[in-house]
Amino acid sequence: MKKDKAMGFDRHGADGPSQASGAAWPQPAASALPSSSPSPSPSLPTPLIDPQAIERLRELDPSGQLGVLRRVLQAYEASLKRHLADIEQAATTGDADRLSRAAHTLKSSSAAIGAMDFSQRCAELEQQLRSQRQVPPVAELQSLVADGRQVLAAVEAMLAT
Amino acid sequence: MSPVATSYAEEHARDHPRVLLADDDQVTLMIAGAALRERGFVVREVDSGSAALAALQDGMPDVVVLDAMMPELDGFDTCRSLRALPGGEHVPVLMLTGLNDEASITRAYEAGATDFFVKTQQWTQQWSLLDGRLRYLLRAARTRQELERSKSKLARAQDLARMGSFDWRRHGGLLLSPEALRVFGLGPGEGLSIRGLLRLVPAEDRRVLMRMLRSTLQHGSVLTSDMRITPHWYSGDHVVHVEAEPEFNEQGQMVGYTGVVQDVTDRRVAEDKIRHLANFDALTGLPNRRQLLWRAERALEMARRLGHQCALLLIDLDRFKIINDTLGHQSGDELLMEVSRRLRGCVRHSDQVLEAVYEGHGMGVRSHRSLEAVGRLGGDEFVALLPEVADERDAERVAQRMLEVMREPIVVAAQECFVTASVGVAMYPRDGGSVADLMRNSDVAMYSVKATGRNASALYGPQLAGRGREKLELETALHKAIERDELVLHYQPKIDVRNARMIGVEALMRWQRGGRLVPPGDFIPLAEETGLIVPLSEWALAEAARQAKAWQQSFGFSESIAVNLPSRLFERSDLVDHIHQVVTAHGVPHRVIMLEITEDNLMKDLQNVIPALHRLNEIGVEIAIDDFGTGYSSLSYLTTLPISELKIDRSFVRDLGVSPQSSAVVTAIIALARSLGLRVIAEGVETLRQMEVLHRLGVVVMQGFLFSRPAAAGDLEQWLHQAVLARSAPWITQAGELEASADAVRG
Repeated sequence: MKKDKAMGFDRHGADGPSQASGAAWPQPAASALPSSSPSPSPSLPTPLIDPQAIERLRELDPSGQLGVLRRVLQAYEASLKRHLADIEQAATTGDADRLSRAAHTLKSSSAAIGAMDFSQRCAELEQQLRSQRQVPPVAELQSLVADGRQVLAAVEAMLAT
Repeated sequence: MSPVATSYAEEHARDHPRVLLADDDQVTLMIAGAALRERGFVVREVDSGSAALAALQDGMPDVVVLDAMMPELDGFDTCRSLRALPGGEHVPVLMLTGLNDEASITRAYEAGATDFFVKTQQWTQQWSLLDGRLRYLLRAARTRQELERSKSKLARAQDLARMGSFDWRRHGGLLLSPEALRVFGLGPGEGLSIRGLLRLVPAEDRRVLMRMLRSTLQHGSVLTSDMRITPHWYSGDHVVHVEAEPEFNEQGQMVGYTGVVQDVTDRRVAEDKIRHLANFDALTGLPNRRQLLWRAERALEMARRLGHQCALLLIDLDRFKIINDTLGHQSGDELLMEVSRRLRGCVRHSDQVLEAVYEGHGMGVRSHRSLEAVGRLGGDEFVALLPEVADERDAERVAQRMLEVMREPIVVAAQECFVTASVGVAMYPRDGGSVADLMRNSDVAMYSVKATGRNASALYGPQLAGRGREKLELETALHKAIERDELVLHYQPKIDVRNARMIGVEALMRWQRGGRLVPPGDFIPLAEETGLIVPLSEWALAEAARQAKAWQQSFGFSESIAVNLPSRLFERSDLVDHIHQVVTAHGVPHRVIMLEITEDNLMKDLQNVIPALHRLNEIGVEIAIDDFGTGYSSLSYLTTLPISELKIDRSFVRDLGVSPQSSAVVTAIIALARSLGLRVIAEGVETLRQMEVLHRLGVVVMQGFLFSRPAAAGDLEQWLHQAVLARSAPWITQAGELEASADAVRG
């Protein structure tokens, strides 16, 4: 669950007296908040790659004999590099199709390895391109590429171990 | 392939389905492939639409998963091309589409995808969803495949069964499946209307069929019927079985019929054949017992209702067994066929198979005439059923005609055979109210014909009723006794008591019927009454000659065997020839046969018998007079007759020492015999006392239980060895003493 959403829920729950009874919302979530409020640390960075997703990939090859995880990460690394280059190039040329394909592919594959935030940004870009048929501003794309490079670094780090 | 192997292969395919996975993104492809493999699928990964189509050339997988968005050939186009491939039309295809992309979903279906699967952000982490979807698709595909298979099986089964389905709408007409069209000899493209169908039905059946169809429609009832069709493109009749059920709309109105038609011609032919076999005699083609009894029952019902008379004629061939035995069964069968042909010509014979059909449909008042027939009960026994006769003379005329048609010789095995028959007639209602009664009484009448010389007919009557069935049976059995070798001769020795020597034997007939020995008293009178005594006596003469020869070879037998003959045999001109024949055949002298005739018999037919006696005497056959002393012998004649022996009746012997008259008669007979130069024999000697008295009176040859009971040939021989030659019997000692005292008296 995302942090901002949790906070909004928190706020909403504190303001609404009608919610004091907690009838409309699940009781466990509401009651968990007071006890968890001292411990949650908003400053804690969200991991770029969800370790649970990595764990699931590992489960596909429990013995590790097939080297699935490693091969997936290698494939992702190659794909990410290629598509980041595509996005950078498209930002300058304004090639919407190329951008759209890169966003579509990275949306899926990033989600598959657990880079959820980056996947989400790619999905938003794809949606934006489909609905508006307009290449977003270069700054926005550069920000996306920057996020992608962080994910790439994390993947390379995992591969290095 | 064996069923086990098949099921194993199927099981393996079910647990490990082959999936072709196409996605341009290496990462997704790799993960999805690994995930599906981990769940038991056999996965082939390709990274483009064209690679997927190329992979399909190696064979169809069980399921195809296509990513919708791929560069160049996307998932939609790939799916479209796949469907066009041979064998690709039914393989399940799962399209992977993006979230909330309804346009893609519609496009997927349009391209021929079986189902779609939305790739959510978490889809690569929720493999059970994809797994479940794929398994569902596979199951659906398998069900579809099985359905296809059973559909084609059904079509094939219908084809084999010459069956097809049809559908008829009240407002839409008749629709026949290709298989149904074939039943009517039509091609798949051709059509057949109700009108056209009715035209195939022979005119004579059409009206009945239409009436039936109309009534079925009116009541909305189930239709089950066989109809005969004669399309010009077939040779001969075909029978089509129709079975259909009505269909109703919500208002309960009949809207149509749906059902099947089947060509049952072969079955019908087989049924007809079975019916024919069950009702007709295979050899002669005449109705058999079952069919005839069935007809007789119906005829009696009609006669009862309409108040007329029926007749049942039982026809039995005379001496058929002899023909069968001498010419062989093949010829016997040929003869029966010819006899059948002639007999059926004597009545208005109807060959129709009559069964339930007869009762169901309203037949005319005179319909019972079609019951008339000659049937074969089995063997050489036939029955004629005359369902309506004015009186017994009608039936007798038919019987006479039957006897007449038999007069013409029948040629079998290149030989002319003369066959006669005995016919017994019983009338309904006079001679019986049931088929069983009529059968029995016609049987009684028939046997009365047999008993009085055959080759005639007789009406049943109360005078015959007195003749017990038992006696009739005995008579029939006696008829067959000779053929069946049931007769035997037993022998009783004649003893000369002076030296305890056997000087001859008397042959006595016995009948081994079933397991028991019938004494002569129970069948000889009957044989005489029916004339059977003639063949019986002839047999006895031949058997005696044969036995004489056998004994001659065994222990030097050279005496005579006395055979009892009735006077009617002496009247036969061929008696001498017959005896000559049998002794010659066995190589024994004529004197080996001796004939005994009772005094009664002799005196009754004296004039007719005398010539034969002379001729027999001339060839060396001696004659003895049996039971002498009981009849009213004209003693003067005795002096002129060529007689050799007098046998004193057993009644005098029995009373010896009891009544003084007995010894007086015996003394007189002895005196008479001496004066005529005849031998005297005493019969029925049972005690030593009787032997002693007889001996004292001057009788030296005796016969009776004291010496030996009548015994089978083998037993007699044994007796001869043990009692006579060993001189061990008590009467021998006694006889010896008697002789010694007689010598002393004479000396």
